[in-house]
Order: sequence, then C-alpha cells, then structure tokens
Amino acid sequence: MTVVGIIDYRAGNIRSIRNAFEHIGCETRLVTDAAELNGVSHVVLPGVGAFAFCMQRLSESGMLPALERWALVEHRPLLGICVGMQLMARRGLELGDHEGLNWMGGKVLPLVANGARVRVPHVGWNDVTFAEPFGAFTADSKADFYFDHSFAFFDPEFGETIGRCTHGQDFAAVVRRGNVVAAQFHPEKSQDAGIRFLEGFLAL
Amino acid sequence: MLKKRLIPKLLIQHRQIGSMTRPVLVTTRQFDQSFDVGDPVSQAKIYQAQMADELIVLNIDRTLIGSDKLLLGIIERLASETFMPLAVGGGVSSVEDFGRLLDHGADKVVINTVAAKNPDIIDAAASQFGAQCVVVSIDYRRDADGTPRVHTDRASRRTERSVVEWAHEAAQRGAGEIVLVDADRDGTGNGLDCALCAEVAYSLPIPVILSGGCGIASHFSDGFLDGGAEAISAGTFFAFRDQNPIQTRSHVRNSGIDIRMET
Amino acid sequence: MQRCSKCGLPETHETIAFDDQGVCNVCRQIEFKENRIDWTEKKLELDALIAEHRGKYDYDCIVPFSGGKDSTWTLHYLVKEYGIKPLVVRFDHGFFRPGLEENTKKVCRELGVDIMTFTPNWKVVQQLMLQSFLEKGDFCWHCHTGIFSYPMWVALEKKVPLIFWGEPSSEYTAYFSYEQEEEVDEKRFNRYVNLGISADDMFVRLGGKVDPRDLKCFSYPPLKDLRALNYRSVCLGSYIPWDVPKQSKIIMDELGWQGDEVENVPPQYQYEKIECQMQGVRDYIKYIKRGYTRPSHLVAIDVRQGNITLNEGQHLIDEFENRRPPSLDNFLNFVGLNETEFNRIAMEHMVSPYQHDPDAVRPGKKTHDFERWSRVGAMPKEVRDEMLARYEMRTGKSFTFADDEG
Repeated sequence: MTVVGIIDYRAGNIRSIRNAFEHIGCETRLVTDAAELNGVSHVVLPGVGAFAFCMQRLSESGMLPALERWALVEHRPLLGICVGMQLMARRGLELGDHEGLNWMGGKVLPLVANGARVRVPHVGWNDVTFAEPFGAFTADSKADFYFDHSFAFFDPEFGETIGRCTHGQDFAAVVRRGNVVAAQFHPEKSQDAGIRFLEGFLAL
Repeated sequence: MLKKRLIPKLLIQHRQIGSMTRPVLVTTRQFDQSFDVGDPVSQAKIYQAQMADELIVLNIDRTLIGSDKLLLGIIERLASETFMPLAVGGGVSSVEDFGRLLDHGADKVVINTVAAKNPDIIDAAASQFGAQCVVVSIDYRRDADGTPRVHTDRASRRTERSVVEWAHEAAQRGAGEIVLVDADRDGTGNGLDCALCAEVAYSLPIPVILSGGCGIASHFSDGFLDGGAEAISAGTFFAFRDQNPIQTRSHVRNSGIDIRMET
Repeated sequence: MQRCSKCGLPETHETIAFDDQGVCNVCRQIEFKENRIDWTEKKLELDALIAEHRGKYDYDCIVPFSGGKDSTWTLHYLVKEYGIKPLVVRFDHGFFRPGLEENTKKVCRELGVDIMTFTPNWKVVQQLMLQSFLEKGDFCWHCHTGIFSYPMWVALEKKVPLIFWGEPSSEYTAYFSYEQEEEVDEKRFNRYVNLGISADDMFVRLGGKVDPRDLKCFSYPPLKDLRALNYRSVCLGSYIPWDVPKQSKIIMDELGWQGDEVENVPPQYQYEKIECQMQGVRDYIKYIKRGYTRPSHLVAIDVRQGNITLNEGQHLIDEFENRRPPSLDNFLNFVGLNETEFNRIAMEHMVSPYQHDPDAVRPGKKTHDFERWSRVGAMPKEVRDEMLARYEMRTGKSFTFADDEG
C-alpha cells in the first residue's frame, strides 16, 4: 500500500503536495514526529524559504535522525522538493554560509542574473533534460516543469544529476542517490508533467 | 530555456445570491465597474485544462484577506483542485498574512497598497519566505502630462511615486516579481503599455508581469517582444473573447517567442 | 495572413503553430497518425476494451449520436464489427434537419438499436445562444456542452461505464496530439468544448436569471461519480484510423445514409455537417472572426490526403467562402438581433490579424429543404433587451442599431 508521508516542519507549501498525491490516488499523511513514519512507504521533504531557516526548522523538528536512517541506512524512497532538495547539499550559500544535510554533497549557490536574458528569481516553466530514465521520462527526453527559486544546486558528489536545466548556467534540476530523489522544480505545480514525475517517484 | 508565461487573472468579489454570500469571479473596466464571469474554482479548472502557466488571484473587495474565511476557503479549494502555481493577494495587511495564505495553498503573495504604504513589509516577507514568494503589484494611471503615477487602493488614490522608481525600490527590497497594471487600459482591449514595461523590465534583474489592455492575440506578442515582459496577465481577454490560453499560445509561438506548448 | 505551406490553413485557425518549414502542427499530427501509430496494436486494445465490458450491464456501451457521418460510422462499426448492444443517445440542439431525421430512422432500424433523445428547454436555449454569441462570438455553447455532457449523465443513470465517441480532436486541431491518449473527459470538456464557460459560470453570467436545474444537462457530471462508475469515455478514432471519405461511402452503401447539401459548402462535400440548420450561420461567423471557414477546412483535409492540390482547393474556397447564409434570418429571429447588430457583435470577436469587411460579403444559396425549417420560437424582446443592456454595460459600447445603420 502506498502511503505518502509529507514532512511537516512548518517550512513549505504542504497542501499542494498533498493534493497532488491524493489526485494520483495515494493515501497521504502529514508527519510532524518520527513515530508517524510508521506505515509510510514514501516520504516527501518539501521546503520553501531561506536555506538556513529551513535547515533550522528541520533540526528543531527532531525528525532528522529518523530521516537520515530512512534515506541513507534503509534506502527507502524519499523525494526532496525545491529547498527540500537544496538541504541535501553539503553547503548552502544563501544569506551566509550554512551546513546542509550533505546527503548528496555539492553546493547551493545563487543564480547569477544577466540583464534581460537571465532574470533572477528563475520563475516559470523551463525544460528539464533527463540524463537517466525516470518513470515515464526516458533518457534524453525533455519536459517543462515549473521553477521558482533564486538559488540552485551545483555539483552533487554522492548522487547523480539525472535531470538538467539551464538558466544562464547549467544546474541540477533532479538529483538522485538510490531511492532518494530531489527536484529543484515543483512537480506538484507542474500540471501533467508534474503528475508523471510524482508517479515516477511512487514507482520506487 | 525559460518560457514566457500566460497568466489568467482571477478577480474575486463577494456577491449576495439569494440568502447566500458567495465569491464570484469578475472582470473590471478601468478598475471601476465589474462584470460577473463565473465561479472561481470552475474557471481555475478550465484555465488549468487550457494550459495556463500560473494564476493570479486577487480579492478586489476591500476586505482583509487574512481573516476572510470565504476567500481563504476559495484559495484552499483552488489549491486542491488545480496543480498550477497560485499567486494570491488583495487585502494583505501584514507579514503574518503571507504565512496564512501559504498555509491555505498560495505559492506566492501579491502585495500592492500595503507595500506602498509600508515598504518594509517587502524586506520582512522576502527574508522570511524568500524573494520568489513576494510579488509587488503596481497599479498606475498617467498624469495629464503623461507621467505614470503609482496609485493605491484599487487605483483610486494617486501617490507622488513614479512607477519606475517604485519598481526599483521594490526590487531592491527583495521583491521577486513586479506586476505592472495600467488602470486606464484595464478591460478596454486597447493594447498593453509596452513602453513603460520596457523601461522597467530592461532596467531590472527580476521578472516583470505586464497586465491591462489585451484585446487581440497580437497584443501578447507585443508585450513580450516590445515590452520585455516575462509574463502577461489578462482577465477580460480570456473571459470575453473567442480565445483561450492554448489558442493564444500558438499565436505567441508563431511570432517566434519561446512558450510552453503541448503539441 | 500566414498560412500552412502544406494544407493552407491560416494563422487564425485555433491552436495552429508553424514549424521551420512553415508546416502546421495539425499536418504534422496527421503524418504522425499515418506513419507512427501501430494501428494493429490499437485494434487489439479496442478488442480488449470491448471484451471487458460486454454483457455486463443493460447496454454494452453508450454511443452519443448526432446522426452525422462520424457518429453514424461509429455506431455502424461497433455493431457490425463487434455485434455489441449500444444505447444510442441523442442530444437535440434544436436544429435537426429533415434529412437527418430520415437518416437516423434508417440507421437505427437497419442496425436494430435503442435510441433516446433529449431536448432541452427552448427558452433557456435561446438565452444560452445569445449569451455565448455576445461573450464568445459562438452561439453554440448549448450544443457543444450538451452533446458532451448529457450522454455522461445517461451513463451514470443507466450505470453503463463505456462511452464511444467518434473522431479524436487531433484530426482537426492541436488541442491534443495523436501521441496523447485523448480521453473524452472533463479536462477535454474544459480545454475547448465549453468555450471556457461551465454551466456554473453560465448561471453567474446570466445574472442568476435561470433555474439552475435547467442548466444541469449542460454541466459535466462530478468526477467522483464517474470514477465510482469506472467510466471509460474514448474516441473510436483513437483505435482505428479515421478516414472520412471511405467511412461516408460505407454508411451510404450499407445503411442508406444520405448526404445533403449544406449552405455555402462545395457540393462534393455532401457528407459533411448535414445535421444542423444553423451550420451555415456557424460557418459564417467563423469567417467573420477568422477570415476562413468550412471550405478551407475541407480543402485542407483533402490536400493532406493528396486528393486535390492547394491551388484547386483555392478555387473552391474563393467560390464558397464569405457568403451570407439564408439561415441567418432564422437565427436572428431566434436570438432577437438584427443584422447590423449581429455583424457588430461578431466583429468584436475578430482574431488578429484578420480584419473583416462586411461590404465584401456575397449572398449564399438556400438549400433544398430550407423552407421546411422551423421558425417557431422567436426571442421575446424584453429578454433580448435585458441581455444586450448587460453586454453594452460591460463593453462600454452601444450595440443597438436600426437594421439599416451601417
């Protein structure tokens, strides 16, 4: 039975993620305590706001050890979204220099604006090129997803970049390490392509 | 490559129908009269099916959105029945309202009058929720000599601020996007104010959404090509023309602009 | 206007987009359909779909039916190829032509099927026609929505989950591509069928002046009810390649189905759109808005199939387009407008870059059955006045003219 547990650490738009999974036909539950992971098959780590703010909230939630066990010891399916992805880097350079979870290594750096051609924040639909197959997306396929961010993930060390996007610079749109997958875009806001992406995650 | 965006604008008013008050979707002309278009959730579902890139949802009654149960309820339903980005505003009065709206399913918050009166709210909201969450909307009308002036309170109150300067200040304080709305063009179909948009867009690093005056499909191409807009938002055009975002999309594509297509 | 270098459709055709070679996305889809779809595989899927539903309910499936060439072919194919028992459901938009009624009788008797027809309240239909003409330049809202939603209500009521439609929309537009599974569902309904106006929206737009129950037949049933039924609402054309001329010939030969002349349509296309007395008006409005109409569309199909050249087609287009249909008089009577008002309103909806010139319009010919078309049910003046007043308020323009005011 697929039960999606969405980590609620008061730093994310949880409602939309929940709705998207329910639309696919999953049971969902909000997880505010490690004990609530019991019975969950897939975990989602959302995140909206500054890197340090999200990191601090997540540490304070007390769920970190359980999540690390879930992702890195038990290798169970976990999906990071937006800042939920960025937290998996070694360091985040938003408003200072902060340590991340370091599940994937790599850095989170500001996107560099370049006149009218490259505006920051990077807001809107941009195409992601998949380097590896993921769910319905085959290698080398392209699909448009919705992005809304000013910082991006570069050079993962322990995971692979399975989806790339370009906005002035190339950055990691989807990274994967075993059953841990993370996306810079918002699949829950990306209409049909987003739903297909979430279905890919549920197939893990 | 990042695509240009088409954003239907959902203006919402409270209506007494029979013994019930319900939120109704309207369009306006020059911010003055309003005309009923339908049910907000039904329209949002339609726009989603028609591949709109995003929705802007604005409460245009003077109620405080953070405590308006009816409106918060509608935001919740919009977020549960559609899978597209929602920018919500109209009657935002504090940074706490950002949290409330996000909790009810908004992805970004649109501020206008409150920012003009108390610009610090931009800094505060951006540092807590990130710049990408803060959308500053600027309504303006032109003085007799043609100078565009920022207006607040549904474009009913003239301020001394220049549009370009205010857009720069908002961006500097941490706004993630600017919406420019020419109140005199609103609902007229006479075309977008591309000149002013270009002046703002080409001097700022953040995206500018242009709105007010779309009457034919080529106005959209004009806004992207001449105005340098990243996105164009329209209400009347989609509601009262033999048009929809999919059709408009192909017109825009045929003028050589990169935009999301399904086929 | 920019035109597709292959089929000639202009840039005002809805959803059209041109590639580097100037070829439109509809042409590219048809190439895809002809070359890249494994129709043998699709046929097996159809076999399985029908096997899954056969014999389980009062009817094996529902076939929504207008009596035109496509729904007649759909019904014929399903009955002859699979011997299944369908319920034929007909939504009467108010304008069935005498020849169509004859055809329907022949087809249903020949195939031996049950048929039910639903006709909505005319007084409501009149308001819906005027409202959607004012606000979308398309008076057919009641027909588009009713045709696609009413059979779904019947499916729920009769507990028959399988619904078979005719051709997929990717035959003619790019709202969906042949690569996608085009289910005939609420998304499709919202994407282009309902003109961006749901029944709930229509209630609001009419100022709450109608009984909401009168709009139910135009509304899409709740998704959760349809899901509970396990519904499958599909196009036959997603499973077998659609070939209009060939199919038309078969239904003529085997069922005695007859084509008919249609206002301002070249006579060689007699199988096309014979079901509605208002077809000529619909096509004429399309010309006013977009600068092309049915002859261009029919020529484009023929050119893609290699039946004629674009040049030959152009002669037909020049001869038959931009003509005023005689049925316009009937239409004006039904919605309470005079011709000057009609022109002004239709021209409000012109699609750029086309600019219509009413003076260039030539008269069109009456069809043989024109005198038999009903003129019963004129629009009451007070209803028209109230609706037009709302429209003038919104647009800030006046649309009330004496008939001879240019």
